Amino acid sequence: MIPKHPTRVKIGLLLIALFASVSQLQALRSARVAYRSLSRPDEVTLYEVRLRELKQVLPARGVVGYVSDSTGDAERPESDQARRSFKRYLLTQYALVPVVVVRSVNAELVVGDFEASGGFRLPGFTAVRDFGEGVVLFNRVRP
Amino acid sequence: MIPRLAASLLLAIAMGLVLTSEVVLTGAKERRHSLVLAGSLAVGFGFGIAACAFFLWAVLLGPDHRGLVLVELALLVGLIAVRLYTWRAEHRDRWFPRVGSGAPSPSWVFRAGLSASLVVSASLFMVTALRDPHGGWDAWMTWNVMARFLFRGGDHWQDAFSSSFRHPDYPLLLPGIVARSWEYVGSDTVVAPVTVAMLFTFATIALAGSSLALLRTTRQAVLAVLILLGTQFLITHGASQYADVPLGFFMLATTVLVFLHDRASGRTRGLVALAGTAAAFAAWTKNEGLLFLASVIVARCAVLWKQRRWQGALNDLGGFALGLAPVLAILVYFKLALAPSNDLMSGQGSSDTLIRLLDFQRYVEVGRLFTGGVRHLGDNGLLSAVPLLLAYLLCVGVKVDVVDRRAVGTSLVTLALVLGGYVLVGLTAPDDYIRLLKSSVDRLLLQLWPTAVFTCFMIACPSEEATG
Repeated sequence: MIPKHPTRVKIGLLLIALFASVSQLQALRSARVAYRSLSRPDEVTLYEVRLRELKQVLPARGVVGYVSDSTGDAERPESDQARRSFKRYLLTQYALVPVVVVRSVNAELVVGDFEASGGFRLPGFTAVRDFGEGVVLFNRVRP
Repeated sequence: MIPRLAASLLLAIAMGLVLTSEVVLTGAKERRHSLVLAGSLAVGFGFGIAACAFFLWAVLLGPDHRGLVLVELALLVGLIAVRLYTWRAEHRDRWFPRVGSGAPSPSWVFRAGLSASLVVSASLFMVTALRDPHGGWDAWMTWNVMARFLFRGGDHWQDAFSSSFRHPDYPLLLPGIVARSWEYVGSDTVVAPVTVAMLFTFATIALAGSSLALLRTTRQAVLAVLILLGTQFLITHGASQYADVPLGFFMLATTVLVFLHDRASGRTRGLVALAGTAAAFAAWTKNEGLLFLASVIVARCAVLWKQRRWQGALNDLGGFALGLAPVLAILVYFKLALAPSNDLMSGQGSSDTLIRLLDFQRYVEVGRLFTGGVRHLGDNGLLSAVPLLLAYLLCVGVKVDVVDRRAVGTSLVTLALVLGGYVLVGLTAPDDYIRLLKSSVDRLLLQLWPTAVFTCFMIACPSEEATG
């Protein structure tokens, strides 16, 4: 089925040319916006810097717990707060590899990752060290 | 750092090139395009081979055990030796391109548009990668975190498959090639995953362009490349280091190799074996690749069965299985011995699945998600890419070369089966997945997009022929 009218072919080519031109202009604009944000470090890098000192005192391997004051709403896992809370946990795991970070306090060592500052307590644990910026390492109190 | 990274990636690509040199043509006119075709295929094949080798190395000796480079060099030499051994005495092309595929060359307008698009897309990729050097959310929480376990974990690298993580059953092509690069460099620099992502993204576009230049015409190739480069999401998502673009690469590579195999007229089973390897690499990249693998086999058999070509079907399956087997064996070992059960599959039970299948509201919601995703794919505010392709087809008409009919059928049926599979998973999945689907439907469609564009231009009447 070859169209007899070459005008239709020209329209087809023009449509692609139009699509490509508009898309590239939009891409140029996106690149400009992204370029302007380059002066700020990205979120993951900031998190890694925040957890750097903690990483140095953690054992080289093993499992540590995780506790946060931003737990999110378990009933609404799609809420922004729940997503942010989950993301903070994942960022902690990403930064602390190869240590396995489990989202519970069922471990000897527990990483505290708080948005609020100061006065962090965890029942049954003592704070080993406060690294600042809401990062605290807890150790289970032995009976 | 950079020279070591470059050496590691070039060694991987060299291994791939030994295999993909099968597609290089000897004619002066076609040689340039076929070298680009072999080179772009070599990126994915090389990364696939290197990721498999690294995984086996990790299982047998541990990922940080010294000597990987020597083993890979030996593997390269071995591949070259096998390639030379299988090289036929009479030096003939393995397949034939379309008559007149190289001419007429596209006008300066097309070439200028292509160059400008390439520069803008490359800039967008670089700026996006610099803004988020660890990649998007899914990239660092799924793929790069696994790569870190492989690299930093030492004897405990299998902690990466702890069931407390998200998707610990995901296959290891991408984390494998990134961790292997880090082993070569000696540090887990973000340059490695960014470079791997860049090579996959632009190799996908080069693969579509070079194959269309040989199988159709150069102008068709330029048009397809303009559409792919104009799909901004392909570029930014590629830069986000997700596995969807690499998966899309292997889907396209499988499809292209099936077309080349049909152009070979039974001269060799090497091309269909390569198609099998590419499909297996798709499965080694992401779980969706398993659906693609099954779909392409079913589609090929269905097309050959319809034409009552039983012998052809058996031959194709044999060659395909030959290329598929080594990578599939590694994947099966990984799934059975290391990976925990899939979260999506473990949420399935016969009664639950039946209840979900009888829920009409699910059909409405999943249908709405997918039609919305199709409508928004490549949307630049003025035109969206799928309606554009359909409009283009309407304008120029359809003309499939006789020799390509089976491959076109295979590709269309495969695309339909994979898309149908995605919809079915959406219909039967636990409620969480529907929520996940909302944010991932665009990515699922992007996986199929390069193959869809390639297939569209394989069936569209070349515009230079339509204008007479």
